[in-house]
Amino acid sequence: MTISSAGVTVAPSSAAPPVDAAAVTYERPQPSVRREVAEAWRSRALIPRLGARVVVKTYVRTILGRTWLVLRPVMDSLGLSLLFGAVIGLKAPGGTPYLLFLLIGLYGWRLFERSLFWATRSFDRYARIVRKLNPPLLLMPIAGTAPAIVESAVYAVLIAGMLGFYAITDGTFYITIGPELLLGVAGVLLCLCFAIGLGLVLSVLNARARDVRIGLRYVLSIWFYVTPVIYPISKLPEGFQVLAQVNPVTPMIELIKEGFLGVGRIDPGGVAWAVAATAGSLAFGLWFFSRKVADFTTASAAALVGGDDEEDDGL
Amino acid sequence: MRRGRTHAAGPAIDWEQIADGRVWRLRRGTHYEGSDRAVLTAARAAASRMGKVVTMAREDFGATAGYVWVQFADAEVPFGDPCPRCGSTTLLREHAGYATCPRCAARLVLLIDDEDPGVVLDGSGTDAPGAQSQAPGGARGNARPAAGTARQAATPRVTQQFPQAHFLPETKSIERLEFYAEIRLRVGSSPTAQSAFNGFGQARGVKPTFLYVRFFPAEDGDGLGDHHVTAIAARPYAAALDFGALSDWAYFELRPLTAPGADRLTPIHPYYSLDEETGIYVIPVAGDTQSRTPPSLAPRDGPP
Repeated sequence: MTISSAGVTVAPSSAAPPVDAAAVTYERPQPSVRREVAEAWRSRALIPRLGARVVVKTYVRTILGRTWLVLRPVMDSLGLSLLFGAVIGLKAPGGTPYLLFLLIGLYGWRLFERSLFWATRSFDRYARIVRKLNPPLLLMPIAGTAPAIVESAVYAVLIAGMLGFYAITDGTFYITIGPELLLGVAGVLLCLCFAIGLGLVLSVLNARARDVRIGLRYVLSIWFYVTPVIYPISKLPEGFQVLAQVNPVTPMIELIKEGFLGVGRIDPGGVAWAVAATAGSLAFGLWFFSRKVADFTTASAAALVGGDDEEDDGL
Repeated sequence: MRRGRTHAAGPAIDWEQIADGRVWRLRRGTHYEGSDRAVLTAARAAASRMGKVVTMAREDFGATAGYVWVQFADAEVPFGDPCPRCGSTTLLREHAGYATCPRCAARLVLLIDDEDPGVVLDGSGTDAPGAQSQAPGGARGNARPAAGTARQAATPRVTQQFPQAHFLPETKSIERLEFYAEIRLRVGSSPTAQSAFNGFGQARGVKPTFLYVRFFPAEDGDGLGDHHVTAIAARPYAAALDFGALSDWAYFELRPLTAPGADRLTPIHPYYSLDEETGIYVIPVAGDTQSRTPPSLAPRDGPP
């Protein structure tokens, strides 16, 4: 570099080896689902760490802190129970207490809804890490579902508590102990995998335009009411019951209700559709993600992932 | 990595194990105690010792948690320069700030000038209109599409530019004096152990820069622990300032503690010494980190 009062002239770096100017070519990796999955698998130990990070981050700078993990499901279920159970007078089938019926439905729905929401926002939440380091990006939407899984665990504890309460007060243990429980587990896994499959697509789209996550809130609100979470599917008119099965989340919720409480309605065609939708969303999500995530290899990735991962913690 | 161990005196982390190119999380209270900065310093020293570079992201959630995310790479290279290991002129850009050399498999950290335009590769293998005219030039001008060659017909093209000033990673060496060459510094007041320095330097082959350097004492209170550089591009002010005034400033160099010639250093400040033979002011650094200062440049002035 030459320094003079007239100005500054910058010469090629003295530290860099002498090179033929204009010789370097940057190539983009070819999209590959196999490579994305292999890299993610190699760093799979990061998933719980990234997940814990986003849970911690969600409740940082709050006075109640992690108490919100419990408060939110409690207030959510009590509010809905009060409105739809006490005020509107919805009844659960088979003499099951409505609060328990509602909690079981919310357990599956919130797992799906919150997983999809957090997976969609994963590049926002991990912007700092994604900008500065080079982790396997496939881990982000997967680890991003951690708050939803924690929240579902809280719902599970609430359900256990309510089962105990009704066992004492009613003398009835409402949960089904037997192989039917596997149906409930299958429903839970389907909810989670379907959300991740959709989240793979939406996370990339949301990194490009935040309209996705704003619109997703409204879509999920509508989706909640057309899915038989707060009401039994039998309350729907006959024609609408068939139509409800078009919604792939319906069979998943019904599996959970039937598996845990024995109050669901399982339609084999609906279950097959739910499984196909989940497999399809995962396959398409991986394909879409592996192709579009290559955009993150460019300098515009900083713009894609946003400049701030502090705002809007989703509380 | 040794997990579940805590060390009140500072981090005791198996850096060799975590220098595998993957991202690792270090958690306050589990992997280290005390300041995050000590971990950053230790990671840099370990990287230097192993002949690698390290990038880090620090997150402090107050009393709730504190994390330092680290990732080691084989080398760092200014954007547009070839692989420093094998000289390959084709690099696989996996990330805005990272690339892999397809020839020697070196994992590289890209040092990106905030005044250079970035590139997007469309991977289509077809020439995009205006691709060549949009090729990044910048100060170095050594990254561009090789349009028109037979080889390029099968490789992606540079098709678009994006400003990337906002992408300079905070934790990369841009905050470190090691990143700069031809460092000239001065102290505004009487030098003390807590001195901050104003300065001027040239980022390696990239741009002239005003520097504001803050030094932090070592954990044991003896000498230099770490430093932090705040940099401002000088080029916009080139026409308005008299850079000749820099001749009144002292010439500094970073040297490892074990470098030859340590015996001729005279300590004159808690953070730097004077090389009696060359007249260069030497800031000791841990590990094998070398200043990028060109050896041909001689000091011109006395102490600040």
